[in-house]
Amino acid sequence: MECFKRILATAIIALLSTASIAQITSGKIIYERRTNLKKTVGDNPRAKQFITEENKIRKENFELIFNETSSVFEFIENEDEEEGGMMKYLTQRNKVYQNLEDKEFFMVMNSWGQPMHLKDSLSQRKWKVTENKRKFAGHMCRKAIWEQNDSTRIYAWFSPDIVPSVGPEGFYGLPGAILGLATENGAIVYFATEIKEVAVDKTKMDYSEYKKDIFTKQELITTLVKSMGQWIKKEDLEAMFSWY
Amino acid sequence: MKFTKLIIIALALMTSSFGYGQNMQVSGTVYDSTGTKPLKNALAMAIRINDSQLLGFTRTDASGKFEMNNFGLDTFSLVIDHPDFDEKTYYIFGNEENNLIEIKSVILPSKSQEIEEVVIYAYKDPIYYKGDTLVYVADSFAVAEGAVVEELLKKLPGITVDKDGKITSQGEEISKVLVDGDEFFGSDPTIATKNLGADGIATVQVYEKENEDGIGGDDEKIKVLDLKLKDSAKKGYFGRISGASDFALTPILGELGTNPFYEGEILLNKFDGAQKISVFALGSNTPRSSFGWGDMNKFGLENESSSGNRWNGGAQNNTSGVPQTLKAGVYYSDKFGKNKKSKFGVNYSYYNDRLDANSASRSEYYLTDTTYITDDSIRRYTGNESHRFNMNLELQLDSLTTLQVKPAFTLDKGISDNSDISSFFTTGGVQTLGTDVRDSTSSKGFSLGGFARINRNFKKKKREMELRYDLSLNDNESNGYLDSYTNFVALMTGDTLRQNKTNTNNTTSHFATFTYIEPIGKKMKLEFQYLFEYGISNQDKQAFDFNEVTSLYDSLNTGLTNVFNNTRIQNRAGIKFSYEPKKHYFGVTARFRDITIANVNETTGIETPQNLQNFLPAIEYRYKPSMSKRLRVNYRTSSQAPSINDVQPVQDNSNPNRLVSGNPDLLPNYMHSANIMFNTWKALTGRYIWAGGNFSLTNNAFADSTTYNSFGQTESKTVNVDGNAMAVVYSGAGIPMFGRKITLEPGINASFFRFTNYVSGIENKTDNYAITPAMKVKFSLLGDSLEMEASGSYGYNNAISSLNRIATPYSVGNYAAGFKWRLPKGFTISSEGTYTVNAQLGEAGGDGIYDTKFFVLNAEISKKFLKTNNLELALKGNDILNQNINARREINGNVTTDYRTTIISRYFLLKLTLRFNNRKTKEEDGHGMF
Repeated sequence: MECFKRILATAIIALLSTASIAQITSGKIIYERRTNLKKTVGDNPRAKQFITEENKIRKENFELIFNETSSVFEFIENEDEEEGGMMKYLTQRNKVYQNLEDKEFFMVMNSWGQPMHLKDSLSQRKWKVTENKRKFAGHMCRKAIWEQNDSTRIYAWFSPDIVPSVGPEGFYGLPGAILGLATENGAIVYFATEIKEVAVDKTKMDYSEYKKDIFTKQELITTLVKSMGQWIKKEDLEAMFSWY
Repeated sequence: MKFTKLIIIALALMTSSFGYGQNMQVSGTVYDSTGTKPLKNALAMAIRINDSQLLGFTRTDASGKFEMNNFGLDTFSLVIDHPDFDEKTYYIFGNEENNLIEIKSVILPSKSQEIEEVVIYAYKDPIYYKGDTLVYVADSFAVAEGAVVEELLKKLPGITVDKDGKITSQGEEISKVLVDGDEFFGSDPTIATKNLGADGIATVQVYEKENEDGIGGDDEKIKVLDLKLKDSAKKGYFGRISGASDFALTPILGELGTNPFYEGEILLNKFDGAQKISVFALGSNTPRSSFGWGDMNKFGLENESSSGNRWNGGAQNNTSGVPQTLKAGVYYSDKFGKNKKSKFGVNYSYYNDRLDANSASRSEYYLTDTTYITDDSIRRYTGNESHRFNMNLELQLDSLTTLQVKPAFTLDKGISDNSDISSFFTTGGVQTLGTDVRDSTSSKGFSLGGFARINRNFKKKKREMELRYDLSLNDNESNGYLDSYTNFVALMTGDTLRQNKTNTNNTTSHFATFTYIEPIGKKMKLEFQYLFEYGISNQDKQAFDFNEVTSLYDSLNTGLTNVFNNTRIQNRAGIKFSYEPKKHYFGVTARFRDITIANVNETTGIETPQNLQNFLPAIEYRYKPSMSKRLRVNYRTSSQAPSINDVQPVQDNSNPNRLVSGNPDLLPNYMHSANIMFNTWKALTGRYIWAGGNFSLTNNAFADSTTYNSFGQTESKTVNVDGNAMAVVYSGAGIPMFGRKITLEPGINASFFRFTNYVSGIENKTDNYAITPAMKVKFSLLGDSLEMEASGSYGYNNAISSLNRIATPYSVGNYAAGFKWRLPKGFTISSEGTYTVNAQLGEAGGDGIYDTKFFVLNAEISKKFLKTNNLELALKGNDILNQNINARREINGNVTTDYRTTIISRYFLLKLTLRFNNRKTKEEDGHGMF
């Protein structure tokens, strides 16, 4: 009898868990990022020369590993990727750690071939949440809008099903993980292609191993404006950090 | 989706002004649809109603409870959401009395069966509100090609257009149509909607605006429709005009007002979508003779050859004499066809350049048993006038096929007038011969060149095929007079030579190339190429001696008259294999060619046929671990055919002291070259290092075989020699210090060259060694407004000729310092000084035409005017101390020649520059990069 009860209870639990959409508190999200180089590179005449209708959309994959309080977002190296010459330098592939408990983020930027380390508090953003909804990787998401500045708006689709407030790059702070992210002009689009609920090894989210050459966002911008200012406009350098 | 909306109004009054410093306290407990089971991790979020801002959110705990208190008093919707249930929304109007909201039991409704799909158009909503503005993204609504805005408006939901063109939005009449916020040719809205193309519209925005045309005191608002144009639909212009002169105030040889220096330029670009028209003109009698890189890029002057480099967009300076430059032209380009993928461009440019170069030179000829010295005083005056036409047409035939046709046509006219007074000395300083040679030639000709190619891509990525035809056609004729007087000093006799010479040259080359690229997997490629060349050259030389009797040039000089033809047929087949794993690139090329050359001397009837086969391999390796580190190694082989002048057997006596003739038996050369290059750069510190080397070995190289007569006059013939070699290694670095206030830039380069020639039948190898270390220090002070720079380089050179083992070492030292200081109120002061020390070292030769020291000082002060800083007035002083000379040394086999050329030294310019654009904003000069 005791045994029967246990079987029944297990069966009921099993039944319930299949019937309901589980809320996810830790796991892994794979994003595909599509960058329309014609739009991101804009009027840059030299870059324009090698961007054609055929190669203007650049696809790259990223993974976001998260638990309830932290996450790490990283580019997925793809052995099959075709070396696109200059092309691959037209997009950024930063590794971003988010620590929601300490409201802190850590970033390894791989710009100009050199790792640069950035540690700062997570940026506060004002989000507008709309009634607009769509599904990403099987999860219904709501669309939120962040006005980066007067001319740029960022759309983020978050799913309340995935509890931690994490997201790609430096985006976080919505009531659920961000599964879709896009600039208003469609130049850069991230969308989740796969979501796995798995227990996550905490050490993956640990960035204390980085000890040398750590800058705050402002320090890094100041340094880069000094070192790169003669080639890259200050606004463009600042824009590199506006998503963190 | 079905929403359950509840409104809690705890207090009847809703106030618009909320107190500050008080927070909302929102709490509740969430249950499943049965109302019995509390839900864990259900979402509760608060969204402000008037602007949708997310005020806060939280999750329920295991007992279904949530609580929020981290935002101020507001009117907001509270959304409760859980994946297993439908969501529930509450509208909450908070105020000072109503700030404590407790929803004891939130029972979520079960999921409704008919879930409404929300349609998103390519991540970009076709309609959205931005504040109070309703925005339609025009591209989301398909209209017919060539449609005007009115047709687009008819497609927009909520907008109607009646038969008179009257527009209403959500039932309200649109009073005004604006284009990019401005009225478009008057206030009649139909002018814009019926004339502007729909494809130029980025967004259509509808908003309310104050009625500026309203009767006084009338503050009514009107509804406007604003058409935001795409960038491509935009039109405009920009340009730069400058003029500079010294008003003849520069003293020349102690005199004022003799010859004013001037520089003037016009650069103008007008754009209308993809259509661009550029006009340029440059006139000067200063060394400034071309536009810089930045200007070329900005104004699209792609066929104006320019040196300068990307770091210094500065224009090229002509310092080989006293120049006079005039150039002008017009460029037109446009795109057309589907997606504007086809391009058309055409340009015409006119050039008129003059150069007057007065030089003094001393040459030393080292022979086995003796050394000759000659002093020359040379004046070369050249004038060239040309018209160039270029066209480029790129047609996208279909999505995979492109056709390009790019012809170029040039019409040239030139004159040259050279006079050369030479004195020949023995080493003992005794003059043996004096000559006075004058050669004036006028020429005219044309050239036609260009290519046509058809390129085809395939469904299979990276598979590619190209068929290309190249044409090069040159036709040139010249007519010259030679007047030469020779004084045999020792013999007390003289000799006179007066000749009229004509030369007609025409060369035609056709090339057909077929290339096919086949990918193997994702990382490998095979490229097959076949080239066929057919070329003909004709040279018709005639010389007439002056007939004292008739006083005409009517006596044919058969020794200098000849008709010569050269035919060349080349078949070349090649295969290239490349492998490109991550960060690496390997390429191996093998080419095999067969060349048949026939040289025919029509005058003598002698034919010299040649047939040779070459194997031309190449290897390339690149390693690029990151954007800031790269290594490149390559080995190449190449072969170059001699020019018709190198094979034409008739002597060129335009300098009777230096007779030159070609060699019909000359073979094409064969060169092995290898290059290695490495660089690394650290973005954060700005530190960089680069190093590299270039090496080559040439067999069958073209060289002179020279014989000397007893005075030191020469006769040379071009021959093939083996073993010419070159090795150059270079390295440099940049080391910023103290937060980039100081940057050190050390550098070094070293070279070795070996040339072989024949002197009176004896082989002579000349080895040149050089090493030049350099150092530059840059300072950036006073918040980067003051930049200073100091640099120095010292080059040690030595040339050793095997004929007599005489070494001729010499050195070149360059030491410079300068600053640029940007002061307030638009003032800038800059100055730079360069000290050059050329020195003859060792014992051999050299009584010092090369030895010289001079200091060139330049300075400039400028001020910018206007709000936009677009007007600039500058006073420039070039070589203020009037010291500049052009001193250089040429080593050619066993001959060392030192030149000093008179060039423009001191001059001042008062320069006014106006930059402008249609936006009336600050217009920056283009710079080389990006």
